[in-house]
Amino acid sequence: MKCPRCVQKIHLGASSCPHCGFAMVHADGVFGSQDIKLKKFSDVAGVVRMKDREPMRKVLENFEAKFPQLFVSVYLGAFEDLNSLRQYGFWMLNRTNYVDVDAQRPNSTGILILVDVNAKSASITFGYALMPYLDENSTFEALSAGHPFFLQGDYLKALKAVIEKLEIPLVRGWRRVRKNPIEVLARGGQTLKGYGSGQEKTGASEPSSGKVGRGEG
Amino acid sequence: MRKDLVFVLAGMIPLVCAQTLRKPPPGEGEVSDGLPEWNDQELEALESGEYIPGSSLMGKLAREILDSETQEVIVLDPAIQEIAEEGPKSEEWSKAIGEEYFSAYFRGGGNGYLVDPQELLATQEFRDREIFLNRHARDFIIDCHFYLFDGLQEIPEEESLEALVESHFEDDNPLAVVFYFMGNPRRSQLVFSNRVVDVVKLEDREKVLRLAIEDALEKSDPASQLDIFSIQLSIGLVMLEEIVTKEGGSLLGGKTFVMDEENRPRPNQPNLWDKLISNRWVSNTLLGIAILLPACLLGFRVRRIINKRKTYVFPIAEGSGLLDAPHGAGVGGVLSFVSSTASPSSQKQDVPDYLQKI
Repeated sequence: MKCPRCVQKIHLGASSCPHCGFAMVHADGVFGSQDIKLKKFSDVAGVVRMKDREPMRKVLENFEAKFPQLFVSVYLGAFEDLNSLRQYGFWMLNRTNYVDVDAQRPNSTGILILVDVNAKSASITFGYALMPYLDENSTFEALSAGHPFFLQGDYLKALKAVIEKLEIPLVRGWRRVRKNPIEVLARGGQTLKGYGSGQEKTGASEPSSGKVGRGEG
Repeated sequence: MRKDLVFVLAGMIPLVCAQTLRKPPPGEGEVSDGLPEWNDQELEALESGEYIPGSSLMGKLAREILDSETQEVIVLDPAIQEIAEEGPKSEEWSKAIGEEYFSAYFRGGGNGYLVDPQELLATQEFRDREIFLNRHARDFIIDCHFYLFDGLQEIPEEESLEALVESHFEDDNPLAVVFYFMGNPRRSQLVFSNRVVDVVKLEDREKVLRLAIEDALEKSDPASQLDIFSIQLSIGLVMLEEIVTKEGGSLLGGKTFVMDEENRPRPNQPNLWDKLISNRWVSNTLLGIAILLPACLLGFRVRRIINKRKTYVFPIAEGSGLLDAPHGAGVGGVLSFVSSTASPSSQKQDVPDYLQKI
């Protein structure tokens, strides 16, 4: 995993970046320590046409139907002077209370697609539950799939392409974790819940409790 | 013309001068004109028959012949007459083909359309004929191969043109092979491959050889005879091709040979598709494909729908925090879409943001 500030590799479980000392508290210092309330699709920049908003929500719902434990949120902002898209995404995923996401899907199971329409850049941040399945490369590939549509300003098509592309590593990870859950989860700094007490649960159909990751586990 | 006239006139000048000088001056008697004159003694001997003009040149033999009452015809000495001209010492020698040439003639050792291991043709003649035969082969369907022998040479009993064609030429190729005897075109032999024999009538084939021989015999020089023979043969072969084409046959592959009415293709003859259908194995295979292909497509479609509706539930996991973040610190890729010409990978932002500001 990489530090959102210095983009250096950091060890899973590090409470602060060993290179630059970055931690959640620093992000709070920049963007605020209070939680904010948002919908999972927020077009603050106002770049998505009205007729495209409903299809956009449909895309997000389809994703949730396919992955009952996960959700995707999209934030389209027009920032005046945003220093770091990575840091802002990191802060937003941890400080946002999504009002239209059910309680069974905590932020640790969320994927945040953050687009700065002024700086013309997009980023992806994901919760702890997805760390065994997603990484920098797979998320960049997903963003690349929407690149031509981002250029055209067709954000509906762009986000649809990005989300469809994100499904591929998730499905692949789902297959891998079925075969060898302990090893796959360990790659993302996760352990199978109850594994240490002898209650091994490997079933893919095991419903998520929604408490995945630190702070909610 | 003018030069000739000058030359003649120049030659006449000394003669006119000489005549002028020899003319006796007026009042003088006749003088010698420069010719030899008989002296009185010789003149008398001549008139009496004792002296024979030319006897000093012809010698004794002339003297005797002239003195004899009956003059015999001089004949060449029989010993001299019997000396044979240079050439083959015996009939057998001229007819035999050297064994060293057998390989080239009868074992397929000869290359190209003109085989002349005995070098009966001069280099240039050989080259001309070879070029001609190569062109014929390039432009027309029936290739023509020439094997050159001397006029009197005999093909060994164990060898034959038919055997040569069968053993060293492919039946599927339309071709004509000729054993040509230099200076003796009447002895020429011509054999066609089965591809030609199957579609061309015997009389047409024989006509080609007959016309070539007749034309060759109009020349006396062996090399010219070969030229004419090969040209006429080439023309004949082209005519054969035309005949076959007119009759709806083909010299190139396939089995639609036409020789007579029996072999002429009928309008309702089954085509390739009908033949395939009639083949049981092929028809079963086609039927299988016709059934399996839609089934596979349907299967893929169903699987796609199932996959679309499929839900993916992950195992419950727990882990230690990262960067003291409550929900997640999965920092993914950052893509810039400023440039429409640069590729997405070249617009990947993988350096710290504070460095980008610099």
